[in-house]
Amino acid sequence: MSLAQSEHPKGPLEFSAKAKDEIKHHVAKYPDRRAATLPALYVAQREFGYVSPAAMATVARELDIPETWVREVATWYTMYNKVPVGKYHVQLCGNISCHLTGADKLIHGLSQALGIKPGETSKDGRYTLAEVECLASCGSGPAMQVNDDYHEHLTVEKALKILRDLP
Amino acid sequence: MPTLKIDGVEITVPPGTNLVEAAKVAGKDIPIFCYHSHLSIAANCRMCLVHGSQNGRPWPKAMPACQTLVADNMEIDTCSEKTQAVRKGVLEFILINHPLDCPVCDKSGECMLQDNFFEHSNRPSRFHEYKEQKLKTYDIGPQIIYDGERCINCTRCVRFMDEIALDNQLAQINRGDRSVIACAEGKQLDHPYAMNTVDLCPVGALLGKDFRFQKRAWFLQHTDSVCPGCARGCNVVIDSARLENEVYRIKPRDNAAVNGPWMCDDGRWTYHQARERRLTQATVRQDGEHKAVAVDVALRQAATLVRLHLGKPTLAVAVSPHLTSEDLYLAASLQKQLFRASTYAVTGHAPWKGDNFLKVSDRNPNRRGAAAIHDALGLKDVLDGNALLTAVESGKVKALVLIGTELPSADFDRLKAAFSKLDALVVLASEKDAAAQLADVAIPVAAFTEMEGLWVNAFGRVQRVRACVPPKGDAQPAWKALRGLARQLDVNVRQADHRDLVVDLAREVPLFNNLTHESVGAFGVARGAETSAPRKVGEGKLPEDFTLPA
Ligand code: SF4
Ligand code: SF4
Ligand code: FES
Ligand code: FES
Repeated sequence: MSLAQSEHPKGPLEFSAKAKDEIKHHVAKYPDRRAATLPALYVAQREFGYVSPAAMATVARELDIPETWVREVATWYTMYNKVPVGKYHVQLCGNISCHLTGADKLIHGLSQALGIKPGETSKDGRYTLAEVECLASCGSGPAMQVNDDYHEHLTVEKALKILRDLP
Repeated sequence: MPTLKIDGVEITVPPGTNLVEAAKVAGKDIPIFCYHSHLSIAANCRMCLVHGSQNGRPWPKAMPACQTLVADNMEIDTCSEKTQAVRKGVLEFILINHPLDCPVCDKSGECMLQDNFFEHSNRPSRFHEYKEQKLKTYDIGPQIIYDGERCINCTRCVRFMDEIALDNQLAQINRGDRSVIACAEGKQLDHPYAMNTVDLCPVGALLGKDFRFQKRAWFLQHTDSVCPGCARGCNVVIDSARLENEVYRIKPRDNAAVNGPWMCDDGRWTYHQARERRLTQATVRQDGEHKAVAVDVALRQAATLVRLHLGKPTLAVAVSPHLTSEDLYLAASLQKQLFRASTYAVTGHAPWKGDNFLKVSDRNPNRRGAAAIHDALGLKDVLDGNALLTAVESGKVKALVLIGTELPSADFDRLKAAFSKLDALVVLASEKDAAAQLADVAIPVAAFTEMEGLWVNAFGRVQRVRACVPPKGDAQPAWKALRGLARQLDVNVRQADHRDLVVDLAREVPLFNNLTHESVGAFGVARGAETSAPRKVGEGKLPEDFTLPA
């Protein structure tokens, strides 16, 4: 087993001017720069597609804190993608309320239709499927989160239509 | 000051004391993993959970003793069944994924997990699931191997790097049963003090490559001594194997006045010089060849060579600041009554770059002692090693007696050119170094692991060096070899044994007044007002100009 979470992208990364401003804004909110690690990692995920080791190093440099501190945080939270994901990151709730309303059918159905199992990315790079814990949408399950958007009361057909209608 | 009861024993301790330390005062022992008196409190292992009460009201649940501070009217129970049940639970959790590879683990025999388990649980596991597989024999740094399966994630190593080394090289990454210790991606645990994390690790998760697979812990005997690496003189324990009289490692020994519980990595490797490349037989040069001879024969030959130069401007005598003060004292008295050499010098290794933690720039453990002795005996114009080499190079010295061969230059060619100007070179050496190889007569003497005596560190603290193995081969303490040489030159040394030397040293050299080996003891005695205590935790950032030695 190797510690590498993924391959390094070639060369060092650099935040865009807009991202740098955004991180400055977050840093200003806290008494301690280290506290801005979480929002800064989100900015990095958005900028670089996923939180690669190089992205962690860039965050550390931007916040002026040790790389180890960033790595601790980034690897602790599952919502930072440490491996590349497709254009649409499809996160399906597999927790109890959604299960009672048919999450297993939904996960299984989408898996079959897209030809990928949870944890995999389709060959064309359009979808990554993931089974996640409670999305806090328990009253309206089964629930799905596609990138930053929520979809509720799903069936396989409804979900597929949503996905296929995406640009 | 708060007064509380621990298992019914009433104690009064300073406010702010935690319960682990308070229990020690009461003579009780609370098991721990993550707690360390010199690191911040993490309270993540839960091994130290204890039940207790406050003002007669029981705590709702067990509390971590390392993180709970004493208060008046507290009552703690460290050994009731209730507390023991908690410990069993904690140990069962910690062992769920533990690989139990004690048979091939170097920590076995000195492992806190083994000790705590056998003392506080000792019951079979109820988990039959597969164990989580993690990083194994991972090369985490140039000196250290990491085993993620053995790691109990106590974060002692991380905290050492953050708080003592002040270099955040380690991280605890991932989560839950996948947690492991790692560096930043692509980086290594590479620091002049990194080996302290190996001492701190309560289990066999961090192991030094130097000691790995060398010796089982239970074959080692421990001798309190002092590191010869530099003039701080960190207090250490030297571990040697009883059966084969061989040294296997050096670990720091807690002395708040000198090194705290730490030492530098370079200091740890000094034992190699006492193990390898040793001069174990006396040699004399005949027709350009070194011939191994009995020590007596070599001493006689040395006397013949030196006799011609006694009291003449052609004789130089040089002592090493690695010798014990007893050796140095005898050498200095012989200089006065026998050698009367016109050149007398204190040699020693060239300095290295000190740092602002432990390492001081003088790499010689007893230069202070030598200076004090020479002052007290009235030796004037004592040269240093470089001046000695220059004098030899100038050709005015014809006979040189090197008592201890630590020289400011290890450049073989330079030494060869210099020593070729001599008619006679007599050395008392522990190593087969350049000087021993170039000598006309080389007499083997004890290395620092084989000698008893006193050193004085850079801050004027007198400390005791102890023999943990007998001298190798024909080696003997330097003072004995010197006494033999004196006898061959028809001078009887007054002191019959080492003890007599200590008595005379203590009488005649003010720095050692009233001292005996026993009164110096394991922790040394400060002479003078200087303090040698290292930087404390939390004393802030390193100075701007801080650089670590190359
Ligand atoms: S490597 Fe050792 S010291 Fe570091 S967290 Fe693991 S068990 Fe603790
Ligand atoms: S700081 Fe000096 S005395 Fe201390 S361990 Fe290092 S070399 Fe030895
Ligand atoms: S269980 Fe699915 S959103 Fe909470
Ligand atoms: S020793 Fe107290 S929680 Fe680890």
